[in-house]
Parts: sequence; C-alpha cells; structure tokens
Amino acid sequence: MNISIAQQLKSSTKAILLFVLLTISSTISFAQATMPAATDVASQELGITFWFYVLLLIAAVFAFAVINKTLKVLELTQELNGKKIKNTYNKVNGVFFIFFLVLFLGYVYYEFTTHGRMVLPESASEHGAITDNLFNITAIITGIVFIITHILLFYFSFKYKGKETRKAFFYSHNDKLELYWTIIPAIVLAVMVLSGWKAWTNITAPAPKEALTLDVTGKQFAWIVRYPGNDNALGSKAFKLVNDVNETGVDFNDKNAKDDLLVNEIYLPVNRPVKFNFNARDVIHSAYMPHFRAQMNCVPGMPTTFWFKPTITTEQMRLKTNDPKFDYLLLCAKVCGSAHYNMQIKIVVVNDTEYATWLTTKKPFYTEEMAKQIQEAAASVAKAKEEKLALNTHE
Amino acid sequence: MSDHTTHHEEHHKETFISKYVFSMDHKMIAKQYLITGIIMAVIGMVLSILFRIQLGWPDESFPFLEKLLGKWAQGGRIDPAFYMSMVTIHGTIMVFFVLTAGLSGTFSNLLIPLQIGARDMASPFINMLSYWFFFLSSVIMTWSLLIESGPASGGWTIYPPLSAIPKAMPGSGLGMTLWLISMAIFVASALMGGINYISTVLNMRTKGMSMTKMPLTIWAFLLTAILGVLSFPVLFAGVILLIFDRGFGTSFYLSDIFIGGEALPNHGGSPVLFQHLFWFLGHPEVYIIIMPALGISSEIIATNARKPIFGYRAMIISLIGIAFLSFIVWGHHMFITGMNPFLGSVFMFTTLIIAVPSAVKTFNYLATLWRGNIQFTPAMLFAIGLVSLFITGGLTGIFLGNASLDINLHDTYFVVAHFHIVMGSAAMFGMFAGVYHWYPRLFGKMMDERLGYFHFWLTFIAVYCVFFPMHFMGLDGVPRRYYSFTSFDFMKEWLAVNRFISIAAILGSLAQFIFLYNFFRSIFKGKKAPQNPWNSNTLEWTAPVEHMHGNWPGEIPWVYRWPYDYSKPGHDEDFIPQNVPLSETMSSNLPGDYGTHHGSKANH
Repeated sequence: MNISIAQQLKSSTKAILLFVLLTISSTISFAQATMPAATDVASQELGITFWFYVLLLIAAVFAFAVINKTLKVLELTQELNGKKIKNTYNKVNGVFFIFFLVLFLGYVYYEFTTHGRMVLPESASEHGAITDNLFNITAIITGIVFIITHILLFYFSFKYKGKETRKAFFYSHNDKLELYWTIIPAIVLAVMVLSGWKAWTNITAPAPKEALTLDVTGKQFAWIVRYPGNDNALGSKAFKLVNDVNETGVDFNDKNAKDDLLVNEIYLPVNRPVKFNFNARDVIHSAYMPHFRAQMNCVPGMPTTFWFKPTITTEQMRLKTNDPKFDYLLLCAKVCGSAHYNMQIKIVVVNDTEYATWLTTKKPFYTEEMAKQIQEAAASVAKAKEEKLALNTHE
Repeated sequence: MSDHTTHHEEHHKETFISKYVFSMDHKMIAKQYLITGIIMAVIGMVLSILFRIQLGWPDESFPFLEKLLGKWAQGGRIDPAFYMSMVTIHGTIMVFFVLTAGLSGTFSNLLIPLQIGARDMASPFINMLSYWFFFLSSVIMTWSLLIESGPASGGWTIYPPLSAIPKAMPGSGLGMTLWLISMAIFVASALMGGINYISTVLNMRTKGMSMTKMPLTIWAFLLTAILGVLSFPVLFAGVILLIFDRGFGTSFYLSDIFIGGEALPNHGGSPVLFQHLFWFLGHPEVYIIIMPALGISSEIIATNARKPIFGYRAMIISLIGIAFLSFIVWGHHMFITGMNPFLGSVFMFTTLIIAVPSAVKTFNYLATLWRGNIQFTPAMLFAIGLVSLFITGGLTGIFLGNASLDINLHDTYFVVAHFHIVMGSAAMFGMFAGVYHWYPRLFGKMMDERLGYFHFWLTFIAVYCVFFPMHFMGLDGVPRRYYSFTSFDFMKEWLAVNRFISIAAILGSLAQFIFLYNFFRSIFKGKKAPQNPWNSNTLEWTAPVEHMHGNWPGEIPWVYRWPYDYSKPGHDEDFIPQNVPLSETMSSNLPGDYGTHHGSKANH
C-alpha cells in the first residue's frame, strides 16, 4: 500500500511539473501574441490566442487532475488508518456549508451596497413614489425571510452533518407548527396583496380630465409621438392610411388632426397628468419609462393607455443624480426584432413656461404640400397593388 | 444475475434494436430520455455561452466566432438577429427539452413503476412512442439551428405578430415554421407520456401501496402529469392557430398591421389572445418543471438526513395546492399587456396565494434537516442547493406577482434573474440530484463522489454569481433580450457587471464538463453498485441491480408502511424499507402505524 501511495505522489508531482510548464509556455505564447508582428498581424494573433486558450484549458484540466489525485491519496491514507471516508466527506461538506454561509451573506451584502446603489434614481412620477415604497417594504420582509431561512438551511447542514455516532431524531410532523407557518405567510401575503391591489387600482384608474393626451405609436424600430396641438384633441387614425409620408395613418379629414404635432423628443410639463395612448403598427412593442415607473405594451389593433404625473423636471433630476447628461427615456421592453436593443426616444420634463415656449416652436405637421405627397403615395401604393394582381405575383 | 438475463434472452430474442433503440422497457426509455436531455442541455448551454460572450464583450471581435458561426458572426461579432435566435432557442431547449422532457421524462419513467411496484408502464408501446416523438421534435429543433434564414428568433414565448409575419424578422420565416412543427410533435410526446404516468400511478400500484403510502416523488410526478395533460393541449391549439395565421391567411392573432411597406389585409384578431393561450400552458409549465424537482429533493433530503420527511401530508396538500393554483395565475405574465386592470387584480391575488404552499414546502425541508444525521452525497448537496435557490427565486416572485410592482419590473433583468434561479437553476439542481441519486439504479454503477463534490460547489457558486447581480440590473430598468447595453448611457455602467457575469457563466459551464466526464465514464468504468447504496426505504432498491423486464424476478414486493421510516426509535438500523411487514418490527412500531395515522389500512 505504501508503495502505491508513493507512486501516486510521484505521478502527481509529474502532473504539477507539467502544469507549471504549460503555464509558462502559454504565458510566453500569449506575450508573443500581444507583441505587434510585422506582417499579417490579425491571422497570427488569431492562431496564437486560440492556442493560448487551448493551453489554458489543458492546464486547468491538469490542475484539476492534481487536486483530484491528491484527494485520492488522502482517501487511501484514511482507509489505511481505518477511518471511513464517508464521514470525512460529511465533515468537509458540512464545514464548507458554514464557510459558504459566511461568504454568501458577505456577497449579498456586497451586492446590495455596490450594485444596489446603481439602480434607478428616485421615482419622477407620483404613483412611482408609492410603488417604490411598496417595493421597499416587500424587500425588507422578503429580505428578513431570505436571511433567516438561509442561515437555518446552511447552519443545519453544518450542525447535523452525518456522524457514525449520531442517530437522527424521528420527528414526522407537528400539526400546530405547520399550521403556524401556513397562516403567518398567508397573513403577510394578504397584507401585501391588499396594499398592492390599492396601488394598482389607483394607477390603472381613468386619467384625470385635465391630462395632456399624447399618441405614441411603436414601429420597428422607432417611436412616433403625436401631440394634440392647441385644441388638445388628437385626430383619429387608421392603419389603412399608413404610408411613407403619413407614418401613423392619421386621418386628415378629421378636423382635430389638422393642428396635431409630430415631435422627436417628448416634452412634458411637470406636475400635470399626462395620458399616453399607445399603439403599434407592426409588432408588439412595450413602452417602458423606467424613471417614471411606467410601462404598457403597444399592441397592433388594440389601443392601450397609461397615465402618470411627472413630479421632477429633467433639470432637477440632473442635480439630484449629479449627472449633467441625465435624461429621461422611453424605451422598448418587448422583443420586437433585431434592433430591439436600440429603440428609444428622449423625454424632457420642464416647467409650464418652458413647455409653453417649446410648444410655440412646433408647427403642425399637416401642410398643403404634405396632403399632395400623401395623395401621391397612396396612388403609387394602389398602382403597385394593381400591377401585382395583374402579374399574379402576390407574395 | 446472469441467469436471469440468459433466461430472458431465450424467451424474447432481444436484438440490439429492440433492446437499445425501440425499447419498450421503462428503464431503457428513462435512459434514452436522460441522454437526449443531456445532449440538448449541452446545446442550450453552448448557446448561452455564445450570447454571454456578446453581452460581456459587446465591442470586441472574436475571430473564432466567425469560424464557428460563419455568416452569423461576420468579423467575429455576433449578428443581432442571430443573437435573438440564440436567446430563443436557448429558452425553448432549456424549458421544454431539458427541464420538461429531460427531467420528468427521465425520472417519471424510471421511478413510477419501480417505486409503486409495477412491472412496467400501463402502456409500454405508447411510452416508447412518447420518447420517439420527443426525439423527433429534438431533431427538428436542433436542425432549425442550421437553416439558412436562421432559427426562430422572437423569444421562447413566440408572441405574434412578430412570429406570425415572416417579414418581421429573419427568424420568423422557415425557422419559426420548424419551431412550430417541433413543438406540435413535442406536445404529442408530452401527452402520451402524461397519460401513461397517470394511468400507471392510479391503476398499477402494488398491494398495500395506497395513495398515502406513495413516496413524494410519485405524488409530484402524478400531479405534474395531470398538469401537462390539462395544459399542453391549449398550447397545441395556440400553435395550430398560429400555423393557420402564418400559412392560410386567417386572422386569429393579427389585426391592423402595416409592415414592410404595405398594410396587411388581416382584421379582427388579437395578439393578446395568443398570450392567453400560451400562458395557460406557460404558467403550469413552470410548475411542470419545478414539481418533479421538488419531489426528487423531498425523497433525497429525507433519505440522506436519515429522517422522515417533515409533514408528509402537508407536503402532499401543498403539492396539490400548487398544482391547482398554477392553473389560475397565468395572467401575471400579462399585467401590462392592456388586459383589463380588474383581471390583473384577480391574478395578483391568486399569484400571491401560491406563495403559501411554496413557503410550507420550504419550512418542511428545513424541519427535515433539523436534528438529522445528514449524509452529504452529491445528490444531497444538490438537493440542499435546490432549497436555497427555491427560497431566493421564490421570494423575488413576490415582487413580480404584485401587479403594481410588476409595471416597473416587467421584461427587465429582474425577471431574468427570478426565473433562472427559481425554475431554471433550482429545477436543474433537482435533475442533477436525481441523476446522482438514481445513477446506481439507472446504470448499475456508482458515480465518482469526489467529482460530484467539485461539480456541486463550482456550480452552486457560479449560479449565484451569474444570476444575483441581474436583480439589480433589472432595478435599474435594463430590459431583457437586449443585444448589447451600449446604445443607452444609463446601461453602460453595467458593462463591467456583465463581463463578470459572463466569466462566471463560462467557468460554471466548464464545471459541467466534470459532470459529463463523470457521467459517461462511470457508465463503463464506475464501481459496481450495491443493491441499496443509500440505505433507502423505497421499493426501487429492492429490485435487482441488473435491469430485467418486469423489474422483480419473483413476485412484486408488498408494501406495509410509508416510505419514510428512517431512524425509527426501537429499530436497530436507521431505515426500514417499505416492504418490511410490521410484524417484523414489533420493537419500533407506533400506534399510528396500524392504520389510522398515515391514512390507509394495513390489511395484511
């Protein structure tokens, strides 16, 4: 038996040597790879970095094999001394759980203090302050449960790790205890449901009458935003009227449409409710305004709405976040195609006077010239359709 | 043992094909499910690593990607359309092919007949057909990765109109057609499996095996099968209607669409209808995934803590509660689709109720560990890991189930973190636990324990490193399914975090090769398994190690007691198998054992 251990050791020494050798050689090859070569840098780099990773992988496998072999040696010596390896592993894993508990709690603390600080700034909408509050309460309650259950789970794993001498406690049930831990979570959840339900009902209640109404249409991959103009009424629209000039299919026979505005940035007056009429003209999009804690899907063929009251202007938020480049955004959160990851429009919250000034700089997008263009576009579409039918090349 | 096999071969004349390919033996079918599941899992894992490379290093080019993916990674950078495809196929493979078929297909097939004392499934032929339908759908799904226009790319939830209109994105063409065909076949497979599991459990239990003497694994598999049989047909209907919309010009899901320069003629359909049909399966589906894992971990925790599972009846009731409630919570995936807000309140209420049985299960696990004599086999480690992940992911579900909080969290990385922990990783841990625990029963060999320990600790740490930071990305309003985080200023601060996540994911996936090595090596070179390696009470360990048709050479053992008589006071050993009559254990019998308490009459 002694000889076999010696052999094991020998082979593991060999493995260590090989591992060291590989590490050195791979480092050298990597160093060479990073040095600028005279000709054909790209292809050479490709070859060498590839082999670098292969060598690294081989090295890792060898390192792993060494650890594994060492453990096997340990196992053999244990068996020689008449101990059962099962108990050793129970002990090792039990102790690992206590280490893991400490590490885990430290990691959770690190996450909350580091990444937890990188989250959204305070809510810039009225209802958002309420849901943020609700979020914090939920976080505290679930946080307590999270910590306690994990401490118990890992501590029990450590404390009651298997031993030859131990016999488990035969304890099959305790109806009273089970009743407690059914009823207590039920009560806590009922409270959460009620407060969540209250917030949800308020958020989804109809928008106040004085709300500014905007029309937001999602298309692949941009947002088209229409303001109602001076009459505070949006013109109706129909998807059959959509063409390259009239992107949302506004019906210009509707007199409300004549003074509607199209904008590249959404300006909102602070402290005035704003109601968004959402729609999509191709696939489902989701209008997500994280800073206002607002989101609603935009569905083709099914109008949806969401309203909120912005409470913090962009300027104020820049001061609060200490970021002069901060901007509110409306972005797409429902997968809508290849460029889904870049479908955004800026939102600027300003005070009433600034809003009024901004509004005067905007001209209605409906002009005589546009009416002509629309007619031409409609005619060309109709013609194309006719030709298609005539040639019988319908897709 | 060899006697039995030779005896057998004389009678049946088993050829290679009838033994290994078109086998009707539930144990062989379980192995087929498991190995197919593992292959699919590796494909899903490789896809996830490829898109993690993109998310971790969005501005760098990797020439090896071009070698690997060709036109999908020109200049060594992954194409946005292919990124979407990879995310879609990763989700589909992991949810359906690995954690539905791979997990419950494997263990329902292996354990239902063996643990209830049956010779085989109710219909071995339909069982075989179920596997081969699954195999066919796996082949089609994998094949769709190789077609010219790329695989389906609208996310695993394939919401129309994106999935219904080929013009909407490259993957909505042939790729989506293959996806739909593959899923239709998959549903057929899941139904054949499910009907078989239900009829076997209800009709073929051995003498004495009343419903309340069944191991919790069987309860979990039974309820899972019921969920599948009731909900998969709804997905099937949804898929068929989508095929109609795509191919035959119907308008079930389409209305008022202008795309690719022309207005479509479709009118009157609703894309939200598809979401209702999809999530009517989709939500029970996540319980189809997690319930077998919970059943497996209940069994493994009791066996290795050497204690009865705490609150056996409460565990069954909570499983039934979860199964029932899972049918009336699907709307919580749709709070902000424009669904009637009142309906939202109802779904919020049912969703938060489902947390109660889940909490009961967690506390019962903890109580089972308390004052146990815990044997840390790799299976036990993974079962404990499952409990930890189930707690972590379950608690974040309380945020998402609350409609008013979901407004800001919907479709962000918070959701990604939540479901990857609670149903992805937790169910995967259940699957690993099951493989380590029942490997001796599957292959008659033991797996290497040391490698199992390495595998567990590396995986456990990697899972938390990968998914925990994602919660905070979600709280910063970072949406999911984004190809890169470079287009928005406020997301750029997460680039470093994403790199960390990617590195953790790569290291974690390398750790899976330890498992693969251990798994395949042990089939051939593993130590021969003893008959009952974990000193377990359930019936599968009374069958001979070597597989045989009919499972037991003589009469099927009778059952006299529940499966959790571990460390019973008054008995010498710390376990009493279910087939030991009460008359042989007079010193340890309790008054309840004779009938009233555990629900059934021991009448023999």
